[in-house]
Amino acid sequence: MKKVLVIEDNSDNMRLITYALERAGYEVIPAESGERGVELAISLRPFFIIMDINLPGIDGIEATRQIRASGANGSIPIIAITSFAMFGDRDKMIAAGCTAYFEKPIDPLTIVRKIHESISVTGD
Amino acid sequence: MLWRKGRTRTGMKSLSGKDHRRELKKYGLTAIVLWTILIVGLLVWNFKLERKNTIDQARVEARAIWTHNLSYRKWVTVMGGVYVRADRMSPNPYLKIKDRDKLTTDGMALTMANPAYVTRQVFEIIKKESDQPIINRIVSEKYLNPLNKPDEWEQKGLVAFAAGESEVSELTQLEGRSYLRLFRPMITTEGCLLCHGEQGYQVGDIRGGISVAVPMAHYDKIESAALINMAFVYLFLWGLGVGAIVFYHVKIDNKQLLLLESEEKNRLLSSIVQSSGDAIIAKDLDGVILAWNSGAEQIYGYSAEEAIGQSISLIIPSDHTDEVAGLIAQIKRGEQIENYTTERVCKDGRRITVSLTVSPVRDGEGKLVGISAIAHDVSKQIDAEEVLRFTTERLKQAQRLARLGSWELDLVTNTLFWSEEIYRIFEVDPARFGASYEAFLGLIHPDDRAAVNAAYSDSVRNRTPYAIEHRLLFPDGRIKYVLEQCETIYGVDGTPLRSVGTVQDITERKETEEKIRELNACLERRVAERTTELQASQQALMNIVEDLNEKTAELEQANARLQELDRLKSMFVASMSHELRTPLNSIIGFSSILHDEWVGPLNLEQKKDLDIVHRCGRHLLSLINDVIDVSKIEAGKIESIPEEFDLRGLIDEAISLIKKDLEEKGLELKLNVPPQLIYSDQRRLFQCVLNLLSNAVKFTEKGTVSIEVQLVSSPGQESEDSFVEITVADTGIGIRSEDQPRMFQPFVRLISPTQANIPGTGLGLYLTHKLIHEILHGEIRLISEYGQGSRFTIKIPVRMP
Repeated sequence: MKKVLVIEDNSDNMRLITYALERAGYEVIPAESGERGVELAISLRPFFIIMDINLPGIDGIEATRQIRASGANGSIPIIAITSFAMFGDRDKMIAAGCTAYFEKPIDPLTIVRKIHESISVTGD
Repeated sequence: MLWRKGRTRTGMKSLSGKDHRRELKKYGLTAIVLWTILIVGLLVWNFKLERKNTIDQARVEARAIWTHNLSYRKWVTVMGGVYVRADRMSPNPYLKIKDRDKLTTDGMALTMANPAYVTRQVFEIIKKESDQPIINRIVSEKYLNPLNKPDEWEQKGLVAFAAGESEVSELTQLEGRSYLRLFRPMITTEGCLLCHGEQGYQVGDIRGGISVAVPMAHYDKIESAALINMAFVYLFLWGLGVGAIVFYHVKIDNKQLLLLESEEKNRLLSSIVQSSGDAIIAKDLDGVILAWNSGAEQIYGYSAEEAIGQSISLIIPSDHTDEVAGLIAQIKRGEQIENYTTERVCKDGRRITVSLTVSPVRDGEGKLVGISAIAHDVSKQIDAEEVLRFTTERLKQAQRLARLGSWELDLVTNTLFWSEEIYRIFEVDPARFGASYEAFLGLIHPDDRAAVNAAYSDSVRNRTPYAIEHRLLFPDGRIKYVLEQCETIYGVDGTPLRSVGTVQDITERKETEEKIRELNACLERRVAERTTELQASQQALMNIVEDLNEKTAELEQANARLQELDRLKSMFVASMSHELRTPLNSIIGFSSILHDEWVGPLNLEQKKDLDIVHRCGRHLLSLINDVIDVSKIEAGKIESIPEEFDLRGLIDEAISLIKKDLEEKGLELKLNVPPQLIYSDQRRLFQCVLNLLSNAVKFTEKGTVSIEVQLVSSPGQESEDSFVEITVADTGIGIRSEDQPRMFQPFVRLISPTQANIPGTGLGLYLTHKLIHEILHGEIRLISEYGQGSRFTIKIPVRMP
């Protein structure tokens, strides 16, 4: 089973996204903080990563940068989830290395399909 | 070396006595030389002649002797040879004939002496006669005796004889003496053939020749004597000739000298006349022009050739015809005519004014033979005088205009000259006023006199020009202001010779200056007044500026506060956004999952209830979003990302969201949406279109909801700037006209009579309006009729700027 790393500090949100991903056939590896997420990203090499931007400690942008900088994980898609897109957030995310982003609230029924579309994976 | 008769073409060649003598000597010497040559020539010719004669005479002698020689040779020949005693003459070895030697009966030997032999012997005897003998020879080419061999000359002679010559002769030296030798041929006769026949001669042939050489000595002697006599004669003749030449030349010398002197004098006079610039004309008593100088040529235009011989009336104007006669009469009377001004006419027709001086011309006896007139062209002079008059007038005029007079003080004679204008300035009568420096000073204002005098003296002493303004005081008390300038001219030794100066009436100028000064003072006063006024205004202005500054500071404070508030608001929005959305995410998300039986099966009631939860969650979310959007728009913090998309796709998606409600209400959907690419903010436009559609569904109980898309062009614009109109129309409850203006305001909710509670935030249309106007660069209009339905039209540019 393909592994998906989800870096999210809110347990409710984590639960929700896990439902959607597991229903789509992925194994979900949770990480509750940015630092943990970076660790796991480098060690596990998941199929893709879901990154919540609003994290305590290092935020999602920084975590993305670190993951990208590690070199080993250059091509893994990083899907950012953010609760608001303010000015420059979009550019920041892309600059850090995010492959795509979605705004909260995410619809669990459609999110996986949308992720697949954004990372060009055929089939659900 | 040939001479000319003293007349050279160019002007005067002065022949003084010395030059003349030299000329003369040249003639004389040349004549003498020629005479000498002549005499000598004749002498030489004569001598030659004599010589020839002498030679001819010698020749005659020689010829005679020759003939004689031939004669007795002939005799011997005729005799056939002569026998002589052999004891007196040895036989001739060269005579080879049979009968050469004979013996007489008594035993005397005889031998033949042939003609040649005889001749030769005789020749020898002759030769011995004297020390200057006649030398005879007999020769032949075919000689028998070697002694008869012809010498060179004789050989040449023989050749000549063969050619037909009968005689040759020459003067030559023989044995150291002068001889004339003559050579003639011997012609063969019958008798010759006796002995010489065997040599091949024929009768008539040249057998040889006999030459006779006679000494020239005594001939020469005679000749010399004759020549000497001749020479004396010639010498005498030569002397005669020379004497005559010299005498002649001396005789004519004086005559020529006198002539030349007078000629010279004439020439000098003539060229003086010629070179004069005045016209000098001589005429006879009838008025015929005899002489016409180059001055006349220039003045009157006629050349000498044209004028001489003509009547003087040629240059007399028609109205002066009797003048000449009158002048002549005056001269006859013995009067002098000087500086007589009259008019003449030139070749080209111009009339000129001339001044005449007329004199008589008398011959050697003092009789009047003609008139000589010197005419001086004064027309130029008159012109000059005219010009002078004119110039002087102009100068006076200029001085009058400028009120400038000029003066000149001759310091040597102490005479003062004033121009007209000065008299006028000083208002003095020139007739009564004696111009002098003292008089001038007297007219000056007493207070200024000293200064003027000092200025003048200083100027003269220091050799610098001066200019001084001073006043004139008139008897009636009036004052005039004048500007006086002066310059002094000095001699080479430094003494002042004269002063020249000008006086200009500057009274007017002074008055004007006074006026200007007054005006200036007045102006300055006014300026001072204004300045104080301005200063007061300035002060007031400063006060205002201070107030403004205070206000600005206050405003800045307020601004800072506002900015702070704004920042806080943004922070609030941001945090609200996040904080409010997070739990809602769970509500909506989980209710959705549960409803879709991800966690387990559900019955219809459960699904319905979950649906309510989900719906409310969504409603809450939309409220939050609206509020946040409004606050963002209010803060101007909306970020718009235009992209190209198909409008139809957007509308389809919006429809899909309201389709369920539409179908549940049993409403019909009408679509007129062609594909249309536009470049705009998709999300925001979607929001607006969805808002209108959901409103339409919300407020319509029966009938149709329609969407229509149309491309329009604003008048006068290119298709690039065209707009698209999206119209959402319904057959709902409509909007009362009094409510219509309020529709786009926030928190306006309509109360429908059919439905008690129509969900909505009251912000939908407000937000839509704001989004379209401020973000999408478009506009929204509303047409509605209460109870019939409503029509909302969004018009946005196809290409969002």
